[in-house]
Amino acid sequence: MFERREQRKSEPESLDDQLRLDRGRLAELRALDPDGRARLLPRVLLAYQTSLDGHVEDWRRARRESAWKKVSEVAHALKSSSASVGALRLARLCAEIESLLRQGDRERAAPLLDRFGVEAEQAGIAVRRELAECTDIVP
Amino acid sequence: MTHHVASPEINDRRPTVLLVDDDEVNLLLTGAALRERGFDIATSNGGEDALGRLASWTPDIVVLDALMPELDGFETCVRLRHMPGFDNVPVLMLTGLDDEASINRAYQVGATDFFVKATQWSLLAGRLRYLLRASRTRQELERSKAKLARAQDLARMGSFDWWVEEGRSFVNGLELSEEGLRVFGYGPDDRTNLRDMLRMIAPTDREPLLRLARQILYQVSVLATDVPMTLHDGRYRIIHVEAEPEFDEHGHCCSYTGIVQDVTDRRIAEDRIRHLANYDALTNLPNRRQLIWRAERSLEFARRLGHQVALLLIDLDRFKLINDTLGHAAGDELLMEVAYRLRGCVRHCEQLFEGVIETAGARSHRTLEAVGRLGGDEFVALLPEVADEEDAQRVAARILEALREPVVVAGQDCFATASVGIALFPRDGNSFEDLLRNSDVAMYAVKSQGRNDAMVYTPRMASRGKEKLVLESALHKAIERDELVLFYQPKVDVLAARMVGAEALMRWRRGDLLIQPADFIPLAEETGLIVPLSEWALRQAAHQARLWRDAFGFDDSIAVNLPNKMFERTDLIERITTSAREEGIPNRMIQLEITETGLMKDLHSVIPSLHRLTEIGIQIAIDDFGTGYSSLAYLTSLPISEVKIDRSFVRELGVSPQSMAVVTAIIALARSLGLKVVAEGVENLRQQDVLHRLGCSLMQGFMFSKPMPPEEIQRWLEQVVLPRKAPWIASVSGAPSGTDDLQDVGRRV
Repeated sequence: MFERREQRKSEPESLDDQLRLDRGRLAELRALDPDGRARLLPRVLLAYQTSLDGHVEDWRRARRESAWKKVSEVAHALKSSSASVGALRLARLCAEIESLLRQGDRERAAPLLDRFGVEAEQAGIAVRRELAECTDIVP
Repeated sequence: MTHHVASPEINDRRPTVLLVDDDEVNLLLTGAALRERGFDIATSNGGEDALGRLASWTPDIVVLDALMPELDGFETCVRLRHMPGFDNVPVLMLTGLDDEASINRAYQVGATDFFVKATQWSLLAGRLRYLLRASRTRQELERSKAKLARAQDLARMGSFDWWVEEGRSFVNGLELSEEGLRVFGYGPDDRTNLRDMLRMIAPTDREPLLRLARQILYQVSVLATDVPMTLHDGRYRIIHVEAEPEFDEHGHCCSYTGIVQDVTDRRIAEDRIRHLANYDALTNLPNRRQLIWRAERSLEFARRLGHQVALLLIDLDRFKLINDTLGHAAGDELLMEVAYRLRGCVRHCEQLFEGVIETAGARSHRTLEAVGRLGGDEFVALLPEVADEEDAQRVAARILEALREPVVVAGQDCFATASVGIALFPRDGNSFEDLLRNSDVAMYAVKSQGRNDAMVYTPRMASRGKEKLVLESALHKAIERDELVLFYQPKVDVLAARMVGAEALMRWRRGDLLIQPADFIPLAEETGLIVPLSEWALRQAAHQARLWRDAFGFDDSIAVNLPNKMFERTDLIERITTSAREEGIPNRMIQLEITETGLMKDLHSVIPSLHRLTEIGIQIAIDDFGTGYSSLAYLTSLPISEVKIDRSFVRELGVSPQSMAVVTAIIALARSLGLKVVAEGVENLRQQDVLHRLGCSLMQGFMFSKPMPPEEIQRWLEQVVLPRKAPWIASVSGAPSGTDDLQDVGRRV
């Protein structure tokens, strides 16, 4: 799964693309609820957004307090759910952060930690855009 | 194994899954994906919540996210496994791709498997299905294992393995299953080894077992044997061991695998059944079946080795009398004592079964020697090898000697003598049946010659036996063929010169022959034919009394001889009264004669009958008086009306003073008791004269008349008595009192 994304990473990505969730992943999600009767996609996106907001808050606090374990936990939590909804850049970033922190390599992790805010913001925008397109859902 | 996880495929329902993840997104997506793939999904957003749900519900499978805040997946799994019924529920732990530590830990905390978190739901669903299948297989295995254990427990059975140790001739390693340990009285945690096992076997059994085991290992064959053992708790058990060799890839025997089973109860039951089938329950001697078996084996040996076999048939004398007078319990007591004594007369070998003889060496047939009980009071001594008939006679003499001492039963001394018939193989028969039949013939020959002796069979005995058989068969038909007739011998009152009654005497007309009672009555008594014969005689006598009454005014009685057996019949009175009624004569015209010996033998059972018979007017006479051993005390109280002095005393009258004394005493006794006295067998005037002087005027004998057919009696009265032509009438002088009577008879004639 990640390998496939890696290949696409080498391709230039437009800003619009950066503010979009991965199409392939969204298609997979839609396939789980083909007629949309269960409203799975909007429910998942809403849940992700809520979770993302909460985690971003936790992240900021943990960084302020240099609570590295908590930082790692947030990265772990967002790694999987971001991948699930198609926020792949954030997912990759979280995976790398989690891995470096587990190894205790805060030095190499530092630039990545700095990027987290931007990536989280962009993932949030992408989710909201996607939600907006699900017209019957009011965010 | 108490947990009930229903098999989804079996129940044809969707498997239930509890998804536990703190990530709402994952819960939603994984749940949706699995629902779409046929699972029923319940979700929990954390460990505590999951454990709470599981307290009241058991899903088919639990999917746990490894890393969760507060109670993580690992701790949740640990706690879940401690919950009752959850030790075997499959748990799948979701871990990160590169999180090797989590993967290892997942197994440590009891997860069934792990799965790397991904969005490839089909893989996850496939993994869940695989786990469910594996779980079901495991459950079935556990169930079947439990069933097997239960079955083994019920059968007191367990399994074991032995390993062959390289370079050694014997197996060393031994492992018993839990059930196997139980068979030997061990707990599931006890350990044991071959040495311990061998110690439980008595040294006398151990050596043969080891020999057998070595032989089996050498031949690489199957082991199946019963081993008697004394377990460490002191219980004696018989353990059945059965094992088969196992082979390695090179075809070498590497171990034995098999079962042990406690077969003690079965063996005890089998032994008991075998004993019951082969031994007499009362005396514990071999029974007929076992005797036949031993005899047949003995005959086989004798044929092969060319020696003789002797069969001794031992029949107790007068056992029936003891049984009848002292009761069956006393009879049994006597048989047991006799059995004990007989056992001491031969080299009695107690336990013998198939297969034992053949392996016991050249003289092994000697172990077949035994004394057994055929049934009733019949015993057999089997001598598997005798040099000659003297050999057998010596044993017979030993037997007679052993029975010479009285046996105390029911508090009194009994003499249980025996008659022994001997038959020898091959001279007297080729089979057990032949030998038994011929020893029986010899035994009967002993009986007929006075009992308490032994005789060797001779073919001449058999021909006598055959005659007897023919006679018995003919006697059966005699009544139907109307071959029996009654002759009558008058009783006379010499003083009155008149007939005062007659005794009916049975004859058997076989073709031209007229057979005397002495030649067929004993046989009739022996075979029980005496009963129908006596009944016939009673009817016939009643009929004759009526004919005579009609013909010449006969008003006395006709005496019929009855054996004691008849007096014991409850229908005797009815039969007599019916006969009398049918002929229209009074009961008193029938008189019954019973011998003194017969009366005294069955006194107690006969007395009530005598009383009832007397009450209805039947007169009773005691026949052959003086020959038995009457108790005078009984005589005074017996309801009898007549005694008949035995002919042996009458014959000697005027010759032997002793006879005179006896006859005088009998007449005096009878007179004082108010009984009539009839002298039997009066053949001459001297006897008549003496009797007359002694005060006995009622007589019967050839001098007056032989027993005659009924029609001749009338002629005798007309031609002899009425004309007073007989010398006996003339010899009694001064008998005017009889004249009227005679004239009376004459008038009537």
